[in-house]
Amino acid sequence: MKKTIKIRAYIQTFFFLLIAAISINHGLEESGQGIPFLSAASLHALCPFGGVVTLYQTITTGTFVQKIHESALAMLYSVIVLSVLFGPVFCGWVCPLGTLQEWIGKLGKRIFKKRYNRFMPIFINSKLRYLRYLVLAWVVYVTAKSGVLLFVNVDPYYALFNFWTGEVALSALAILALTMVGALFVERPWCKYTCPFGAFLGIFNLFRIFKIKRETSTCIDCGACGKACPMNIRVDKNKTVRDHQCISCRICTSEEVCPIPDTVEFKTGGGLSEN
Amino acid sequence: MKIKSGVLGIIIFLAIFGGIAFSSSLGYWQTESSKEPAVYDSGEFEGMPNPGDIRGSYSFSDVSEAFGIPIEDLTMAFVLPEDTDPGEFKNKDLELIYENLKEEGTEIGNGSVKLFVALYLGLPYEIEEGTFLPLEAVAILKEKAEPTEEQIEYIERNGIEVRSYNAEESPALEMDDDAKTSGEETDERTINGKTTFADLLDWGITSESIGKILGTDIPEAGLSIKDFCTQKGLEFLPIKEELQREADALDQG
Ligand code: SF4
Ligand code: SF4
Repeated sequence: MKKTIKIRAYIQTFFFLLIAAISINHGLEESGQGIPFLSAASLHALCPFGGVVTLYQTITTGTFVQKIHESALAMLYSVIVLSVLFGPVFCGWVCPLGTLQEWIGKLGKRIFKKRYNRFMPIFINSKLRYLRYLVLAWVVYVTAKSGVLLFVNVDPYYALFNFWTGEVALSALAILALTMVGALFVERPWCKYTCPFGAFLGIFNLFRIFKIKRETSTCIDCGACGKACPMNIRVDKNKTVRDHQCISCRICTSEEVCPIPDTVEFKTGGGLSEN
Repeated sequence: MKIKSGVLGIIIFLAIFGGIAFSSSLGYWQTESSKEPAVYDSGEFEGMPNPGDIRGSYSFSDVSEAFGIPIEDLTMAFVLPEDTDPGEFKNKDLELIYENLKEEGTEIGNGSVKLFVALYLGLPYEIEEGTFLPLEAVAILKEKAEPTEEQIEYIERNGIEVRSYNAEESPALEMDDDAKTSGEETDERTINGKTTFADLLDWGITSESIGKILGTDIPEAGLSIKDFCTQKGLEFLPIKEELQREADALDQG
């Protein structure tokens, strides 16, 4: 009998609560009532995407974009190491905004059953997925040019953990609301179509060391892996998943949905030509 | 080589928290700016701290230390309430104490501190149009620094009477109030968003001089100057400044 793997869910919940607690503590600290032993850093200081946006300025002038500090770069380095090895595990296992979208998605699945995550016409869907690279290019460009973290005005992640502070731009709150409503229909809409950090980490899918691999000799072509993939990747049509949208969630593997043991696995090996 | 979910979970934890521990051990885990502004990297002032890099999160003490400006000059320039701890008070807090000013379309905040520091030390700094300074800061700069003609013209134009705005916290003002109740002549003739034409007349400014400044007959006395400007589509600030000059002239006369 198949055991459900809950480890990822525990880790996601852990990081969600940790970031929420740190964010609340940041506010408390300013009024002098911080919780001891817990970091009171600002969200910007902990978000590895800050490391990406400050990179240009840091390399050229040695200074940081407003509100970003060394810690964001340190986080980025850790995430890059993880991504070279395992792909965007940060998205699938750590990012609290991804976690929130998954939680809302569970409700969406209850409401729409099999139609969930299949509303978007394939043609539009496949094009829209490159939008996040445009967002990434835009964010890096405007930040490099202005030296100011303009992305915060549209960032739903910042809005999620600061909406009570009165410091969040209306535009960011609107995008957060849109993401949450969208997550009722589409799995992880922000990640799929707009997240610039997801776009950046997605590139590692092209050459990561541990890959999602399907063993064609044992596969019974039931299609379960492809249907279960939150990012709509046709795992059942590939030998090795190299899609830029894989978030390394492992839902497609034999540990979770594939009914045949040792058929879809997370492992090393497989050259670029293999498919 | 295969990897199971449990092992992957552990590796993720190790990478993130290990990464934090490792960078902390190297002194690289900094979640706040170092409170040391970046320095000019070329030119005559190479190596000197650059006021352009002053952040809203710097306290007044940080600014004082980084630039060697006496803390008294900074606190006086920005009219901080007397019991303020300059080590706790951050530049961005200026926006809080001058919140009402912000509502009127002028802002005293981190940009004002940058401007003050740059002019105080005679450092190159591109003045952003629309940066305001308290009149006290303008006076200190004129007395202790050597601003150019052009800079003097700018700061005089953009100097703002702020005492009435941080009134609640300002002990200086409480003293004024005491003086008022004891019947002495006071210098509390500061125009703010609530000042009416009747107030101006009470202070002793004649309706002719008011009319001259407005370029029209004096309107209904109970109307506030700010509302009058809004109604007529005029800019409040220049009119306020001219009227303030009249009010200040009364003291000297
Ligand atoms: S289900 Fe498989 S292919 Fe789809 S995102 Fe998760 S790990 Fe990647
Ligand atoms: S779930 Fe497993 S058996 Fe079914 S198609 Fe995918 S790899 Fe093949």
